[in-house]
This record gives sequence, C-alpha cells and structure tokens, in this order.
Amino acid sequence: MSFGGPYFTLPKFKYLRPDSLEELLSSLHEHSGNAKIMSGGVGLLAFMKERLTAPEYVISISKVPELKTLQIKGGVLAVGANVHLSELESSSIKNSLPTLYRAVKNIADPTIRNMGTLVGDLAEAVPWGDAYPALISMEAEAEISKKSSSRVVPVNGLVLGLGQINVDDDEIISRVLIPLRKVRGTYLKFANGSEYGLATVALTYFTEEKRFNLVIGSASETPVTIRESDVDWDFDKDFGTNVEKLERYLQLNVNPVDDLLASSDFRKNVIRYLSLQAVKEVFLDERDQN
Amino acid sequence: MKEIRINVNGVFRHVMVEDNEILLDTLRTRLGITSVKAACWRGECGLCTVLIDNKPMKSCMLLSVEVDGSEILTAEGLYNNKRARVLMESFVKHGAMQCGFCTPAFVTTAHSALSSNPDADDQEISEKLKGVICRCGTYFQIKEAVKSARAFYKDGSHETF
Repeated sequence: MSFGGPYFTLPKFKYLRPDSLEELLSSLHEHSGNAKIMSGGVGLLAFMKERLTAPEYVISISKVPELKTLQIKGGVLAVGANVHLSELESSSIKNSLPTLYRAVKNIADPTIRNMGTLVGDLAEAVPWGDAYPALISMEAEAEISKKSSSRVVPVNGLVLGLGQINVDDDEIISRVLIPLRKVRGTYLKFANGSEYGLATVALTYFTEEKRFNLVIGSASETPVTIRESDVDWDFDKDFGTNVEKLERYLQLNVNPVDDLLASSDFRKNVIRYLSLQAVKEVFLDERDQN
Repeated sequence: MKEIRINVNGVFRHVMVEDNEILLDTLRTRLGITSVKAACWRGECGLCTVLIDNKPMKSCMLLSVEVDGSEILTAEGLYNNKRARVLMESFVKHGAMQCGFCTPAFVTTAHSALSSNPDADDQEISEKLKGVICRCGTYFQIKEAVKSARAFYKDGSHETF
C-alpha cells in the first residue's frame, strides 16, 4: 500500500474501538501488555512509524463518551482523556488556569492541537513534554482506572523517565483533575528551531496560600520542582533580594543534561533566564496591581 | 480489511482499508486525491493537512479507520466554494507561492481559520498557519494573501484586492 520501510508505514496491528468506558477497560484487561491506547494518535503513531513500539492491539478511545468530558465540579476542573488540546484552548481556562493555558499554547502547532490531547501528552512520558511540568506546578491529580477499580494519584511522580510511566498495562489515565484555586501563573519555553523545548519553566503562584511551585522541565529526565521554602522566598521582603536567592539556588542545585541539542551550561543559563522572566511576570505584575 | 464510510469533498465514499493504513495513503492512493502532499510523514511539515469536520488535521498522523463517519475536505473540494475561490485568487494575486507544493495545505488551513473566525487579527492568522511549512519561504506573501481575503469571509466584499 505504501512506499515501504519505516517512517511511511505502520507495523501491523488489530484496531479496536470500544463504545463505552466499561468495554474499553475490559478489552484493556483482556489484552494487557499487548495493547496501546490511542487518543489523538500523534504521539503513538510517530513512535510506531519509527518502530519504537509495535503493539498487537491499538485501542482507540475516540468513541468513548465518558472520556470526552471537560467539566468543573466541586472546585476541580476534570479533563477527560479524549479532550483535545484545541478544546482546552477555547475553554475558560485562560483566566482561571493561566499556567495550563500557556502550556497548551506551547504544545506543537494549532493543527496538531486539533488532534492531540492533554492526557496523551502526559502519558507519552517524554522529558520534553509540556503538560507534565505544568500539571505538577498546578498540583494536579490523575484518575487512573482499570477494570475493577480506579485510583487518584498526584501527577507529580507519575512519569519515571523517558517512556516510563507509573501506570500498569491494564490501566488508563481516564481524567486529569486540576484544582481551581486563586492562582497566578505562567509557562515559558525556550525551543531551538524545533517545537521541543531545551528548557521550560512552569510557575504557579497560589495567591491565598502565599506559596508557589516553579517547575523546570525538558532539562533533565524528570522535572525539577522548586518551592518557596527551598529558596527561602520571603513575600514580605524586597523582590530583588528574593530573586538573588532564587538565582543562587538555581546555580547550586539545578544540573541540566548535556546532550546533542545543548550543553549543560547553555541550558543552565536558559533556565536562569526563563525563571527570572517567570517570577517577574507573576510577582511584579501583582505588586503593581496592589 | 474494514469498510469506512466517509464524505470526501461532498461525495459519500465507502472505502475498504487496512487497520494500519494511514489516511494520507488512503486519500492519495485509493482515492486519487493528490492535492494532499506527502512529505515528512511525521506530522511536522503539515503539507498533508486536510479539513476533518472543518478542523485542520495532519492526515499522515491519522488512521483511516479512525475517521470513519467524518467529513473530509481537501483543496479539490474547496474549488467550488465561493469564499475559498476568493482566497485562492488572492494567493495568485499576491504571488503567495514559489514551487507551489505547500499551497493546497496553506489554502485549506487558511480557509478553516477564516471560516471559524472572520474577525481574526493578523497575529491570530499567523498563529493558525503555524502548522504548515513553506520551504521556499513565501510566508510574508501567504499572510498578506490571507489577510486581504479576510474581508470577503466577513461580509462578502471583494474590493480589498
């Protein structure tokens, strides 16, 4: 059918398209270990074309209505596994969850965002993913379902390394639960010609609780989280003093990877620059408003 | 083999496809729709962009079985669309191409951007066109062409160019 060879064709597999969550979970249970779940497909098909994975079954979740929901309930935004990134972009998250909005805007391009999903980006478990650092900074949780039960775990710690995720073969991340608190936040990314970042910074500041999570992604196998207590950030003190503390902390404690795309030193400088931009954006604006 | 039912450019088609068949292959080889270009095969260049239920998507990253029941629109299908014709004329008028290989993808993407929001500002147009790459580098002319067709999408006025 095609020109042959990797990149152009997909390995052979059996395609399953369940119509309900129950059916999905039971076929996942039945083919456990031999099946991959496909939501948008942009990540999975790319891996399959390069023969990095060749599952016997591909289970599509595009016709599962339960996973298509995007709803706010009890102060939590629940994003279903099959909610496309473009749907998130056009929802009301722009003001209520600025970190997520900016992160979603940074994922690939608008055409891919019509196909890809937030949960898919998380489940792909690549160090340069945009969803994972943003979700950690917002202290989101993931609902993981399997045939007989479901569990809710913090998103932080879900990804163990490149392509490794703390979800069993017969389980699916059915929803991501993001708490809706009073927050200010931003997401900054430095990409060098490609859409994959060399370093990204997600910052969420919980205004009522006076604390923040600054998450550095793309620079090491798993993201690094920095809290206000780590840098001894004092909200009553001068902004300049706090920034100096943050800079010192980054200098001493953040050790980005050295690879073909960029050296560790270069990444370190990028992280420093992005972190300072992020705190300026989030904290200085607030001070001006007061 | 599975049978899928799709509406391609206004025509209902029943197509027999393999489970692992890519939509780009189905369109080009089974249906002979050649405005959908095959270039990178990995979702980066955007030259295989088609409109699926009026949303631009990259057909090299879609399974044919997955689009069962959808409406697919390619540059061929836009030929009889009054607004898209104005957009195409605008591309010609502004010289928005060099080799022309990316033109169908840009036309379909721009058509969907302007149809969904005729009030799109310049920044939004640039943003929406980000998914397609032009290796000749005629981005400036492409954006100018899309901007000048904007008025026609809005109120049907043809005077802007």
